[in-house]
This record gives sequence, C-alpha cells and structure tokens, in this order.
Amino acid sequence: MKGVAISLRKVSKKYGRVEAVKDIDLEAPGGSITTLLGPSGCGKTTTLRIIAGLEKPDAGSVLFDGVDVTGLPPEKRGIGMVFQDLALFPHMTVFDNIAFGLRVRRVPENEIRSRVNNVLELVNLDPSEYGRRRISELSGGQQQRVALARVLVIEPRVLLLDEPFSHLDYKIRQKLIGEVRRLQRRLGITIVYVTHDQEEAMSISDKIVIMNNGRIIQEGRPDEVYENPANLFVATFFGEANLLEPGLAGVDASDIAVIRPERVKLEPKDPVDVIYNGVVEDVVFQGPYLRVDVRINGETIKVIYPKINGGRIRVGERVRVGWNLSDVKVLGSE
Amino acid sequence: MRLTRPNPLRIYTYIIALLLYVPVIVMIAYSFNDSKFIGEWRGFTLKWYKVALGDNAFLETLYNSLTVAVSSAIVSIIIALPAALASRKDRLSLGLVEPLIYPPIVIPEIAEAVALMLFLISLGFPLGWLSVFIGHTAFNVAYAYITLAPSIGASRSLEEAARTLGAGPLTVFTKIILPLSMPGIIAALMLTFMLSFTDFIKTLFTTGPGFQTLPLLIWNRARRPGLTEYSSQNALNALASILIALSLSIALAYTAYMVKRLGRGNA
Repeated sequence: MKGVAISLRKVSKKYGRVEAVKDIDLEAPGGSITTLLGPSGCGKTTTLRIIAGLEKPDAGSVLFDGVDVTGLPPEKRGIGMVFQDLALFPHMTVFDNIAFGLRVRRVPENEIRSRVNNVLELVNLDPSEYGRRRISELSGGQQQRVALARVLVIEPRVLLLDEPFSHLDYKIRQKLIGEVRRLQRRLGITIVYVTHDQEEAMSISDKIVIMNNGRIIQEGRPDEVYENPANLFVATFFGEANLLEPGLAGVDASDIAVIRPERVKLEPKDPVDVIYNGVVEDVVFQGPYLRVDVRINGETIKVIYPKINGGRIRVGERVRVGWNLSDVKVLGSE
Repeated sequence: MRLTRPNPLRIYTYIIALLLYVPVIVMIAYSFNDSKFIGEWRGFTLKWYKVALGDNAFLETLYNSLTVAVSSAIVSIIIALPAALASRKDRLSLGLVEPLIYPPIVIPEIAEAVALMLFLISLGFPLGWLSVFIGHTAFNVAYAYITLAPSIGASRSLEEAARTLGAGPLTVFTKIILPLSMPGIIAALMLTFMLSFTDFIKTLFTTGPGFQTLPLLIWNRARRPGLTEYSSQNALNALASILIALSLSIALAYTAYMVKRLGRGNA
C-alpha cells in the first residue's frame, strides 16, 4: 500500500481578524514523512487541522492523490490523527479506546480483538495487562502509546501527528520517533508531523516545511534546508547560526552572512580563508564536543569544537578562529 | 483546619445550620409523637403516618407532583442539552443563549408566576396539569442549562478525535458527548426534579380547579388545621416528613452516584 499524496492549493484560514494561514501551497509526497516546523502561532497546527478536515479553509483546496477533499468531513477522509493533548476517551478502557475506530467501521468483534491486541504489542504494551486499564491508570508515556495505537489500528492512509511526543522525556521521545519511522517504512503510509522542535524535525523528516507567520518560508530535505537556509529566520530557527558582521565575513557589506558553529574552526591546523584572534568567553562541555563562545572584534562567535581535536580550552584564553568563505552563507534579507 | 480554636466564621456557620435544621428536626420528631398537642411528648407512634398515607388526597397529589416533576425534569433537559451544545460551539450562540436562559433564575418567582398566569388566562389556556408543567419547565430549563453547560464543554477535543477515527456526528453524540455528560445530566435531572417537586409559588398561580400538588395540599391543610383528621398538626408533620425523606433520598442517591464515579478514578 502506498500512502496518499497530499496537496494544499492556495489555502487560507482566518480566525476573526487573525490570519492563521496565508495562501499556502504545500505538497506532502505519498509514503513519506513531511514535517511542519515553526514557532508557536506560525500556522502549522491550523494547516494540519485543515488537512484533517477539522477546519474548513476560507479559500483554497485540499487534494488527496489529486482528488479534491476540501468539502469532506474528517470521518470520510481515511486519516488518523494523534492530538497534542492525546484526546484519549476517559470513560473507556485502553481496549475500547483502540477498538473505537474499528467498531465505528463495523469490524466483527473477534477481528477487533486480534487487531487491538496486535497493535498493543506493536507499541510495546502487554494486551493482557493493559487492555482493561482505564486511561487515568496509565503513565504519560503509556498514554502516548495508546494514542498512537488507536490511530494505527485503523490503518489510515494518512497519519497526522500534532506534537504527539512533546510531553515526554528525551529518551522515550527518541524511542517513539524511531518506532514511528519504522512503522512508516513498513506500512508505507504518508505522515504529516507538526513540531516546534527542530531536533525532532531533523531526525524524523523526509521533507521539512518551515513556517512562520502563517506562511511557508522554505521546504526541502532536512540536510538541504540546513545547508542552504533561505533567510536569517530559517538559519537561526533550524539549527544555530552566527550572524557575521560585514567586517568579519569577508563578504559584501550589504548582505546578511551567516556561518554554522560547526563550520567555524578553532585553532585551525589546515589553512583557512580568514582568521581572527579572539578571547574565549565561555566553554560548555557537551559530551562528544565543546560549545565555545569566542569574542572577536566585539562580536561573539559560537563554535562547536569536537573533543577529538584534543587540547584544553579555558575561559579567558587567547585563541585563533577562522573559516573558509565557502562555508559562509549569504542570505536574502527577508 | 484544626478544631481547637473556634473562629467567628465557624460559629456563624453553626448558627446558620442550627436555624436551618432545628425546625425541620423538631417537626420530624413530632411526626412520631403520640399526642395531639405540640410541646407534650407522649411516646413514639407511627399512627400519623398511617393517617397521612391512608388519605386519598395525599396519594392523588403525590401522584400529581411526581408526574409533573418527572416530566418537567426530562423535558427541560431535552431543551437545555442542545442549547448547552450550541453555546459551546461558537461565541455567537453563546451570546444568544445565555442572556435568554438566565433571567428565570434572577426574576422573582412571584413576578414570573403572575406574568405566566395572566398570559395563560389571556390565551384561554386551561389551567391544570399542563399549565403547572409549563410553569415549572420554564424555570427548570434555566437550571438544567447551568448544570449541563460545564460538563458538556469538556469533551471538545475528544469529539474531534472521534471524528478523525471515523465516527459521524450521531455516533460522536451517543458514544462521546452523552456518556461524558452523564454526571451533568443526572445532576440536572435531580435538581430540576427537586425544584419542580417542591415548588409552591409557581404551582399556586398556574394551577386550576381540581388540580393540586403535594405542597399545595399541605398548604391548604395547614391553613385550616384540625378541620379534618387529615389536617391535624400531627398528620401534617408526617406529610412534610415524607416530603423531606423523598428529597433527601434523591440527594443521597446523587451523592452515592458521584462518589462511585469518582472512586473509579474517572473524573
């Protein structure tokens, strides 16, 4: 089964006077994970709700595999959605929560039993132990799993995830993200994933769509977007960037120039295009690397310094910092 | 809070409780008194209950009160439920619904009762069971709405989840909205039943010849004490005690239901 390709054509949505989404064109290719990334209030959740059919766009259309579904209610779209607050039914057991979508589809009760048990095992919950529990008797992580199981069991062609792992601690989040990726590859479904966490977005996405103020700012593969940010917003929101003053960059004064911290070389051994003397302002140990702030000509430059390069770096120390001009990105002003 | 140091607020509360409950307790106690005279205790008896329950007028008015109260409770919830659902969907309906719903709670019941009576008379509407039922339902809708509205607002995101899982609006209503609103619906049923069952003013103004509810019967008897065996002070005490017992058992049933629900960790 191949996932459904989703397209939004010139979609707009207003709440009162607030334009939540402005004239958006979006393609989420079938059978891949597309992430909508942006700060809160950027319109990413509204976009997801429009895809789900929970919001009706004021203008524009929503296409599933080229078929216009703009007028279809959510229950007719063949989607599954995991909500930010999970929205598990508190008056039902874990089993009944997961069986809900199947019962609505009038699946025979014995088939429901086996499918619910299978999906519980898939999300690492023992059906005999957890099936009869109430939602209030589960931990946060277990509730996330049930929410995921509840949509996976209906085998949706499109899976919509609205920051589903935001309340979890780092380790469980990494594990569940891995599970989602594996499931997606195995089932070949289309996933649209909403998050404000750039790290999560990088690790899960085939395609990333960066939004701000109700518009799409940039889209592409995560590595493409990371290496070639379209503007300063993307450069600073998606990953870190040093904004270089005209005097420092070795580029034209009228441009905005940035460089990623890992491209800045501290005490370079190989020749570099530009090199400055600076003073170490701060050093933070991060395991495999150090984060070093170096002050050059009144500007602070962030540097990621691999531990493997050796040597101790102390605050107040005088260091040399340089980079190659090919690593400096010149951006548009917007 | 510790009990050792009584504060003024606590003393105030005790005085209020005393004023509220002493007359009721005295009345219940005297309903078991084997003497015709208040202030003289001659021992325990159930004979006044026998008198009261042997009274055809009591049974008839009890029946009237129950049928009016049950119907009014159910109908007021049928009217208030869609209003509570609509007011939650958008601000516009909220702005329309609430100003229309609240006045019956604020307007003095006597004014409302007189207005309704004059209105019904001007229409030539026959006064009796139906007019009393209409009168009660008019204020019950307001109380049903304010009891229902909070419990219904809570399920919005759950409804959306159900829709994305493939449930149509009707299934969402029966499987999500209704079960989650059950505590509110039951609370509203009990409240509106009690308001109707114990109502006096509205009933007095909207009833016609030949139709009486239990509170009206007690009132008529109390106006002419001792006219018959049934209107003796003792029989009235027994009658009022029965009324209180009915009200209390409903309140207790509701409390037990809520305790059971909360006990299941299902708030």
